Amino acid sequence: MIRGHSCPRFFREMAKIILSISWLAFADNSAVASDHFNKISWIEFRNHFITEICSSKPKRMKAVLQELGSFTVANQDPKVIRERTQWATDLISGIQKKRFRCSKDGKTYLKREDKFLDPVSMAEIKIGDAKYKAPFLHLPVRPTLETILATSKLINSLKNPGTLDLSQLALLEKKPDFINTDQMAYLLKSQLSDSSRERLVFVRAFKMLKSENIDEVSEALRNLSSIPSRKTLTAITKVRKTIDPVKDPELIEIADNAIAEISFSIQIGKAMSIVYSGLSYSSILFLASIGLAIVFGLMGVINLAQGELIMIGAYVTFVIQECLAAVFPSMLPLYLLISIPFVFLITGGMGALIEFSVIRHLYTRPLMTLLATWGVSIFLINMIRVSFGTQNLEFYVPDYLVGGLSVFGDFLITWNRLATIIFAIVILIFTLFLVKKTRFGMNIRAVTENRSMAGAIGVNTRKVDLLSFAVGSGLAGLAGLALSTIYNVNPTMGTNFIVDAFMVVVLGGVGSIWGTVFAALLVGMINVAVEPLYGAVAAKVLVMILIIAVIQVRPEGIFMMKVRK
Amino acid sequence: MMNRRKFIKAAGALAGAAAAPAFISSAFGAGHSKTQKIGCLFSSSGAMANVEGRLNSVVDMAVAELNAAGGVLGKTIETVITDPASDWPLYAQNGRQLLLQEKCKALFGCWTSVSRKSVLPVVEQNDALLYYPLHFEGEENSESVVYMNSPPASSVLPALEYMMSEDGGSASRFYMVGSDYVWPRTINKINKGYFSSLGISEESYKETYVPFGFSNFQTIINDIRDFADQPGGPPIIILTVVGSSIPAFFKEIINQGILASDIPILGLDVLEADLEGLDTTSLVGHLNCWAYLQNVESEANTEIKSNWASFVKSNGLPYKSDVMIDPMVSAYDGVHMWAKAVEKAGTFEVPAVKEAFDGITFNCPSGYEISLGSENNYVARGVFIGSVNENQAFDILWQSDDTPKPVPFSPYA
Repeated sequence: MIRGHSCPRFFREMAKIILSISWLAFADNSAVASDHFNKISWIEFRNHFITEICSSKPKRMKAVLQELGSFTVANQDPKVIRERTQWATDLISGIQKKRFRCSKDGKTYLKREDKFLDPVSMAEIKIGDAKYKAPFLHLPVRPTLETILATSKLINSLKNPGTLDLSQLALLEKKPDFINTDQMAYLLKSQLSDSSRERLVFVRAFKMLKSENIDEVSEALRNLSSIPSRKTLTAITKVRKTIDPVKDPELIEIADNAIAEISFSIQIGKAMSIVYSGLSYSSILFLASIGLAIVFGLMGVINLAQGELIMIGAYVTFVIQECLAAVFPSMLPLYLLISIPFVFLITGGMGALIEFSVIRHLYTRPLMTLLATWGVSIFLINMIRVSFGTQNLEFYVPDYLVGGLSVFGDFLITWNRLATIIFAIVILIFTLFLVKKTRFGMNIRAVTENRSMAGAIGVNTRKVDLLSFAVGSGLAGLAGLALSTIYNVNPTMGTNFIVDAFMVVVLGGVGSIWGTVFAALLVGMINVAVEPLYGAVAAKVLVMILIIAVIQVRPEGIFMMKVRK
Repeated sequence: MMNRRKFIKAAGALAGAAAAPAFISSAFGAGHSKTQKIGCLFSSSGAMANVEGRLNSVVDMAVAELNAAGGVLGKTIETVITDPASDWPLYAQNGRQLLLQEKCKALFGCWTSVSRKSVLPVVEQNDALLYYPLHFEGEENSESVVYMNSPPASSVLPALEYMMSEDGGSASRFYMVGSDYVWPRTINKINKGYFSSLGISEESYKETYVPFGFSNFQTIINDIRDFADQPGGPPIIILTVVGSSIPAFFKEIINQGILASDIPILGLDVLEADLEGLDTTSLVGHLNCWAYLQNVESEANTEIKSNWASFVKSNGLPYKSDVMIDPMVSAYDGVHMWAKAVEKAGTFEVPAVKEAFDGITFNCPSGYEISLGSENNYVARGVFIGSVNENQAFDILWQSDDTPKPVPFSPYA
């Protein structure tokens, strides 16, 4: 990695020229010319900054934000830089959060906690009756605002040598076109870890691509090709067109190599991304249908309330989250893990209650079961609607489930999807263990294969029915818990899953756990592979055709179980 | 197994049809000469329930206001509420029942265009009136429907124009995602016509559709990120998915870390109610356009908001008392404009009421005086562009000077 020690000076000169032009164009006192950093004081600049921001005009706001970025690092004294950067951070986040407000007659304040401060001196002030409004942030201002804020926070984080605020660095990587070159130059001069420096150099390379200096462009090209993404590809392709092939044949070669390398990586990233999305969707389908696989498979009960049990699971999770927030706020980030046993037991108990009160009396009449469970589902939806309301619930999302990791090309692993995949695998192992290795599981299998024979050798089939319905419901509840991080939770959320769940169970083979896994993977992968090409509607149609075709050939599903009816 | 599944479907449909009359319930006891009925066709179950259901209560509230002021032509008005369960044919069936069996004098109903298209023949055959509170794709002008909200020429196109301007971010590439039915498809057809009239090439836009109730947006948002990284200028998303797909879309947008400063979303059916339950701090800056936004400063708005809050509390309704959305206001306006037309006509008979439409005005909570003209049954409304803020609501970014004259048929479609 080439360290760009010679660059900051060039950038500073460039920035000064650009800034003075914008100053001439937009400032009220156009008398200030070339090097205004020396001519106007920090206090004058702050006043100017506030006037410009209060104008709410996107162009003027953008220009003055860049000026602020440059001004914070214009003085060499580290103490001054720290002080100015702190001011910039306070004010910009105030603007972003609407804690900074202006009145029509030019008065302003910055609110911190319950105090009103003068934005320039940060001294406490009293505000009169004037009407204050937050300056409106039009769309084009936002990227500049966010980038200058992120860079200022990065500079602030330098207080502890060698450490950088990595979340801010990630923000810069997303918007390299808006960085302030002076601030960037200052950052690169500071003491940094090698990996942070590498990332900063990469961010800077986007701007360096536009440089007039051939050496800088080729350095930027080399830096950019080290981290492949569509964004770098677009930037390099654009520059490639502007290079004169006669004058700079070497540069063309570097650019072409970079393009080839990045394109290849992007293809691999794309393939990985499809597989990951497919796995994620499959795991959701699997979670939604595993409970049904047991209930439908064992007892042949068509439980239309299965979707609502998923919904109840999500609501139980919500209640536990609220209880934790009220009683042990420090445990809140772990609420998903803490909820697992409660959700399983409560929805399982609810399932047992449904079995005991409704389904038990209808085993010989499948159509009645169908109608009765449909009734139960309507009852559950309305019970929740009356007690919680119809709106979507707001879940606390713990930090470890927010965002994701860019792995390769543009392949993004999102944490909540990864958590769902892992959870699905855990549930699969748990279910397999329960059914294959325990005495209870053995009874389930015995009753599934031959109910009357199992009864004849002393298995209490009624009890097995009750318990397996409870387990199936408990698994549905756990699905609700997992899905609450991905989907919206409202009283009707269950109806979205019931059709998919039946599809998966019927396709996979009634009563077969591996069949359910296989069918979920198949349906999930087909959906994800077809969607970007022909749209989500076509994907649904294709899955339906597949299911109809499979059922024509194998009416018992892909994985058939030998059952004596 | 297939037979069993088919049977389930058939049985479900039959049972649903048989149960429908039972869903119809009267809000008040029946009375003969002293009362007149109006009917509501808003789903309180199914994919649309989350937002559509509350319109029933809004109509109830407006009717309560009319009755408190002495009724209409001395008669007490009674609301008959049905639940078409987000099932489009059921709208027509319930509508017919409301007209023929309950003898309702006017219907207030429908959210999606497909449900309106389903009721349309019923109201036309029976020479009845339907007040439709949603903004929609236009391209329709029935004498039996009062269109309470704006057609695209006076809502969508001004919003696009803003986003393509320098202040709006000079958008030049467009990713259109919609639910697969008539409203999104027509809106996007109009958009495409508009783009080509501006000389924007076909590579600069892309459209895709998802089924109703679709919620797994992971792949589509991956594709959007791909589209956004291509060269050619700043991209935006034109979002026309409806119902439960809207919060699902936003949830995945947050999840993949896309901010308004990366790819702004113009959500044409996005309402305050869709943001409930979402952490809007990472959605700040995304846009929508409607004929009413909750943050409007007007006396009528303060009044309707406080009335709604007390209505929700006193009736124990399962809705948030501090959320007021455009279709609620439009339905509310509709009831009052119907009452004014009846008063003007001096009778409840539909043909005479229709005659009285020209010149009916109402002081809408949006701060505009809205009116019906002689040319068509479209109500002239003001237009707002809103921007999501951190309080699950919208800041007003731009609003029209006046109420532009509605143009039902777009030149771009």
